[in-house]
Amino acid sequence: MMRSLGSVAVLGVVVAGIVAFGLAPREVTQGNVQRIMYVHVPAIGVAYLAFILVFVASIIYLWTRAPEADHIAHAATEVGVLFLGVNIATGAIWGKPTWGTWWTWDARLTSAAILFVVFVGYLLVRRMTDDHERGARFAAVVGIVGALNIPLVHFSVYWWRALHQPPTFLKPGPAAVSASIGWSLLVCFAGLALLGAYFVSKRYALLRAHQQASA
Amino acid sequence: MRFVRRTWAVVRKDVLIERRTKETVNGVVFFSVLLLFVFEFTLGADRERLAGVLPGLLWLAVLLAALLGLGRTFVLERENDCWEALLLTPGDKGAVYVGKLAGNGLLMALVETIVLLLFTLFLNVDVAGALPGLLLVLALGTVGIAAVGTLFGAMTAHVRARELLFPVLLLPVLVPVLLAIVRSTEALLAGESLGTVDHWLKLLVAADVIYVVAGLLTFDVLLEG
Amino acid sequence: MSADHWGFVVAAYGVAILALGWYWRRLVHLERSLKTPMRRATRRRSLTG
Repeated sequence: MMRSLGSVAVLGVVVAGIVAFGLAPREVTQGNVQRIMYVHVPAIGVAYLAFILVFVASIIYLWTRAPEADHIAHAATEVGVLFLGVNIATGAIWGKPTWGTWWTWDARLTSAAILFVVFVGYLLVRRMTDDHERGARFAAVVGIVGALNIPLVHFSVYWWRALHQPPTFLKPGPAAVSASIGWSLLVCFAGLALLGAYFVSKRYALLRAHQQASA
Repeated sequence: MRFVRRTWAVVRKDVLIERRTKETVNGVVFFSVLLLFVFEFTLGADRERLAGVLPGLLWLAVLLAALLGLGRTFVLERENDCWEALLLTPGDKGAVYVGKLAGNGLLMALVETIVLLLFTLFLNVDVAGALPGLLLVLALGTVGIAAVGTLFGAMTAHVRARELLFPVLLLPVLVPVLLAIVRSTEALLAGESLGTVDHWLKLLVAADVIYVVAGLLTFDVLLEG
Repeated sequence: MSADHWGFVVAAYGVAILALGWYWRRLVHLERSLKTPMRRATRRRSLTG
């Protein structure tokens, strides 16, 4: 089952690549550098899904203390941080030719960076707590508070930036897109989401196996 | 009613200990004064620039001092083998959380008062006109910072590298609250009315509610042996 | 007509592939390190059991 999910994920990523480079049109205002969006935007979408999973799994873990819930939260945080990192890196690489600098404190990059540190904190807490079960509990609290914080981060950063950025960046979401670009984004999101799902299930299985082996 | 009594017991204990040892307050106040000197030395020459960054500096001073104080919330209990006493508190541990939160809030209120006074006196900030609005922002912001700080303080009391992990966990989570209070302070000190920062105030209230409720619900879990 | 900056596009996709590929390989390594001691344990059990 796991192997077929893995194969489907790889297939999804390949299809996404084909769409991003072969089928998606050359964007009018930015040129081909816009194609970076086909990995940048889906990445954060997958990260959000992962963090929602972290939130739910953490609550379930604190409620039931079922180790499976903790494993899911742990796996989902790793995958979320991974895709968020990809989002930030590709965002910076896109920003250099577009805005002239690697980093601008625009709403999206700043929010992503804050979230990144919050959930790295989740992984740090696990690592730095000597007792494993205690670390799992602490991490669950961090996961819950971190996830609840996401809308607060978005609004505060968006309002903060709204006064300082030109109209292009006023909207928190992606700018208005043409239909073909929209479809391409969707396909690429599906491909990356499959990869993310594979990563989470594989990591979960490994965490469970590790726990059972050391039991 | 028992909840309130228990909460008050926690606050009283911490205030008494603090009054006798003055451990945390001294360090925090001294640090604020030090910051004031640093700001004056580095930015004092350019009066206009100083005025521009004043709200940020104000809250930087409060935040740094708060980090010192908040991180130590549960250190006394842990160092003196009183952790089990916390665990043995009958019933809902929420009273301990609120008590500690209130204690931390008081500490931060003290720091804020001192920092505001120092800034007004030495850096020539005119606070008078904006004071009522400023106090509201201070109160809302303090609750938010203390709520998360107390929760994470309990968590990191038992972690190996507490001094490192506590700020790493706390600061990113507090960014929305920090943005709200700095922006509001900026607007109020510039003479704007409270209505212009309405959205920031709403965000602070939302944050406070979320953090305190989350704290009440998860504090028990953090105290478990 | 704006420039295409293909170098940056390659760099971005390269970073993404490297990061995702790194994680994939990490999963493979973790799996391998889990399987080895378990194999020894089952062998030991079948020898003694």
